[in-house]
Amino acid sequence: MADELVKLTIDGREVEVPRGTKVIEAVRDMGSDVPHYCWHPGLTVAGNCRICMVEVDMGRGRQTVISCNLDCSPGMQVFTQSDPAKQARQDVMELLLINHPLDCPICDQAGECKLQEYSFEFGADGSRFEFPKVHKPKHVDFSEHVKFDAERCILCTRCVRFCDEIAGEDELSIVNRGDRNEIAVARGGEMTNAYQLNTVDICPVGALTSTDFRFKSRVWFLKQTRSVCGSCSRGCNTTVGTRWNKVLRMVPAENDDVNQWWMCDAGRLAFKHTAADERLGAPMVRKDGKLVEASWDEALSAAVEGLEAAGDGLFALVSARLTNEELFLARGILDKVGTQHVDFKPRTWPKDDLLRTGDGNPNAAGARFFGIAPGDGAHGLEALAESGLKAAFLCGEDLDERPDDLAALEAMDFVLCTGFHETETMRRCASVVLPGVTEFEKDGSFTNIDGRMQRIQPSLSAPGSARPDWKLLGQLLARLGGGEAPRSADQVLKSMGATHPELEGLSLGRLGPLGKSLPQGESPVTEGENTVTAGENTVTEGENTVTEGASA
Amino acid sequence: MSYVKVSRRELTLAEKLYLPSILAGLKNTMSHLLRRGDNEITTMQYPEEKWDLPSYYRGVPVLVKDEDEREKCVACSLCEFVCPPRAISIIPKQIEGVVEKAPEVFDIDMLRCIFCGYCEEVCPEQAIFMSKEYEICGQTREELVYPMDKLYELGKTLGTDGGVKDAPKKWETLAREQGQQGLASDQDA
Amino acid sequence: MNPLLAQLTAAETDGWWAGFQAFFVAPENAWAVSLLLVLIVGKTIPGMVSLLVWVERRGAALLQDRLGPNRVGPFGILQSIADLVKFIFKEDVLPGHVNKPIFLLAPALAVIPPLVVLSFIPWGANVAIADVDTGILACFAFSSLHVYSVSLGGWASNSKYPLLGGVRAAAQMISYEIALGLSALSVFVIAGTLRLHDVVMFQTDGLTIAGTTYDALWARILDWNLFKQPLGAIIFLIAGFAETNRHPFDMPEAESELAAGYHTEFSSMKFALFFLGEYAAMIVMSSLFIVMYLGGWTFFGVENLLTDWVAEYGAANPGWINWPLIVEAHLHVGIFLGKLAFLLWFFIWVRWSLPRFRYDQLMSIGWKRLLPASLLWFALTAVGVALVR
Repeated sequence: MADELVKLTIDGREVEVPRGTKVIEAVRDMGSDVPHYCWHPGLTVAGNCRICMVEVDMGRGRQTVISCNLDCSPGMQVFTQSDPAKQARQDVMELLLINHPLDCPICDQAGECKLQEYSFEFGADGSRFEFPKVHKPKHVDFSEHVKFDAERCILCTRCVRFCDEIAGEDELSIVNRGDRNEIAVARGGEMTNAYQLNTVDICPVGALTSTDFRFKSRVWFLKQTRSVCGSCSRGCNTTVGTRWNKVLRMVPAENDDVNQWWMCDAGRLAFKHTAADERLGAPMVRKDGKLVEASWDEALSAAVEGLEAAGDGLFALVSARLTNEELFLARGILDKVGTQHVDFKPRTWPKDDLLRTGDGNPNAAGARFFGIAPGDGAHGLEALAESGLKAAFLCGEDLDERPDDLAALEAMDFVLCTGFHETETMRRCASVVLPGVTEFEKDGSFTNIDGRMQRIQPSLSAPGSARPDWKLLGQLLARLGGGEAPRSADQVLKSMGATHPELEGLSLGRLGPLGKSLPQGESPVTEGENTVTAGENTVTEGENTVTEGASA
Repeated sequence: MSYVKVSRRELTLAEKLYLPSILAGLKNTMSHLLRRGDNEITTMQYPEEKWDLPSYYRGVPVLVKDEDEREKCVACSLCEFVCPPRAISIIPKQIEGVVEKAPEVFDIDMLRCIFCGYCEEVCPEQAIFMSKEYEICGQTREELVYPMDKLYELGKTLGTDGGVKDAPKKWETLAREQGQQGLASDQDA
Repeated sequence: MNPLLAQLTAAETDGWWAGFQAFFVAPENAWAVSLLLVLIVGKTIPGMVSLLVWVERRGAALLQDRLGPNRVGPFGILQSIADLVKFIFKEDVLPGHVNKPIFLLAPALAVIPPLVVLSFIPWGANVAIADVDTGILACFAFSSLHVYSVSLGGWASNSKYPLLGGVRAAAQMISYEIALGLSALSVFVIAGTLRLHDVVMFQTDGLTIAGTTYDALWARILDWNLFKQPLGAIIFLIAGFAETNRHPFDMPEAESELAAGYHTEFSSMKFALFFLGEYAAMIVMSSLFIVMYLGGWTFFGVENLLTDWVAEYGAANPGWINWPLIVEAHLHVGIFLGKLAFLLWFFIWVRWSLPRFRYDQLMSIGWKRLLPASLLWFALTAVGVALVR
């Protein structure tokens, strides 16, 4: 059935779509768009906003109908831009705006508001409604993350359907009657589902706003950068909004193969560490028992000296939050040093059936791929305390919450730490500290739980003289005799093909905005269709991909 | 013919000598010094005398309050967006009351401001106006970044609502309507 | 006896006061009188310059229907003092790319020659710091040093506009010095002396026409070299404007073309010295014009009103300072300063009335008009003098 195609005409163009396709989807597939509020590709059809009016001729003359709930049928003629269709949308706009407060100057949605956009496109310049507007509660807390403004709401029920269909908790509904209709949390409680901030994304107007981002900045000032969430091994695609070199919000970016349009609340709020007070801005070397700031040259020399002296007695804990490029370089360093005592630290994360995987390491698959695991007969992390090793390399990792291991580290002769903020481990044990950066400040790729390589991109500049980890690891490797230091993460990825044939021909650009699956033993470049990508920076400032991805 | 030959008049001896015209020039300037004819002093003694500013004059942009001393600005940041030299910087904050937002920080860098008036034009709340103030001076660059309280202080020269008669009172209307519909209790702080 | 004189003589008996007077009267102590004059002139000229700057700015403003500096002191007369204070406290920039010794020397060279020349000017019958027989030659010798300050200042600055300004100035000042010298030469041909004192006296001894000497007022007026040497006087005046780099010949600092010309790189007091030098040069040029063409300290007999009193007092009080002589000196200097004020005003008046010449016009006037005219006039004068004798 799904393969059966129907042929219809849209705005004079003949198109073929699978049977069962809605007209609004057919128009979107053409690259055009029909205005819509309540329809969302990831939700069931409600058909209540009535803005998606088109004119359709099915052989019984033209009539205006909503396109979101109309199946394409053979011979159908669709007119999306005809005068009656436009007039119908204008009438719907006028009705929607009767009770809308028009408080755009204080509304956070302004700039990515469908109501604004369509009003600008075909709204009237004034209201014919002479009576006082109906007023409803404003800034109501739906939960600690979500605020609700009933006046702005157009009752499209996207949020209601999301909670029911996607988050699996039917906790929102419409209450009251007629023009007193409003959204309310069921049983008068708070929203509790772990994906509730997605309702803010999909809300086409400013009715639902994020408490965290509320009044932080107008959205048009945000620099939007496409990246990947670093909180779990799902690797949800994100769009990071930054301003004043600060992350102000993180919203999901559409990727059908990974996270579709969604993202968990905890993941999207996991950017506070970028602005932490104890960020490292300069290398440090321990002198007379105290960590003091040092030059990069001095710190790198000390690190190399310590690593070489340690040799196969080095214990290496390489973080699985590092990018593939960094893991590759770390692997190179460990091979040069010649140690087998390699491991990464497991991290837990809530687990559910929707997105959250339970594995808090965004690149655990990458770590396994590059062999970040103890060799035969070597000590892993669990055996660290009893290993008796005298040197350690904590690459982007700490052991703050493991007192026994900390004690073991403290007893060592040499401990090299890299990381982006000062940890208890560094304060107590480190001989040399090299400042790295967060995943918001560097280029690279993560491999998610399904073996999909996805690109992360920098949206902030790093504090002080901190260097991206690929850069400092590359410099370490070069000083250990591993050839020339790489000049970019992309260069590292391109050079991996020599030792990892399945990565042959890959580059950050070729990963594309949606990433690339790496089936075992298959060269990715053979997947012809996926190799065409949209260049280096797919999301640039001012391009409003957030709206499109989140509330399409 | 592609060109026209223009012959200059032959100068007389007196003209060639320059001296008569030099004397004429001296006579002319002396008549100005002695204020002969309608030669009046044309300059203005600045700090004491000041230019009568036309109504369309655009001086320092200032913020105004309404007649209830309420901030009109809601930190919508449209002026910040429209400002060609990016002289304005705003950080919003949440407040209690009918209006939920107000500026926490509202700085205008007078060294950057080009007095174009776009901010006044774009403001949806009629909260920013181009004043008649033009004497801007300071010892440091920082001093010339006018903070919010200074902008409100300067705004007082225009009177409440920027001197606009029948300024829109949309928030007042909103509060009244909310009150009539029984929503005032949890709104007006 | 004059009552004032009686009072003066009555006071003199003995003690330190007599010794004081005797010291100054003694011929071997003439240096002390000169030193006193040097101090007076040396202090007065900068004061005059500051006044002159105020007159220039205020005059310029009035000529242009403005008010000019009117804030500091009565009528703004202390404006120059305020400016001077500002100059003193300004940062004295010594650019890194300049030739330091010469860069530092140039402002000094701008001030010293005009001040030296002023020592040869006879301000009154007995008021001259150095009354040398070859006065005019000494004047020209020292005033031609002025060109060094401009050209060296421009050259040592080691940047393009000052260099162009310096080159222009050198060419201009050398060109016009010839016309200036030739027109002055005619004066000394008819006067038969190079001593400036005698040139002045030559203009007061009555007009001699065909052997008859007339002593009436009209004759005294016509006795001024201005009327005996009209063309020479005009050439001297024009060349004088060019020599002092004044409008309409201020090419060296034509600011629309050369920023500030030769002194672009100079700041603070170094700039102030150039400024001082320029105005001092104006005073020098005006003084020379007064001495050579306008009868110096004389004014149709007024200068002789006190002669008898001086002689009487001198005869009555030998060995004492001749106080009436000092009063007479003040009269002479006053007459001289009156004429100087008029001429300086003329300089200013011209500056704010005329547009600047183009540089090619400047050179063309200097070499093709003034030089032949002054040569011709010199020849005519020489022939005339030969015929009359």
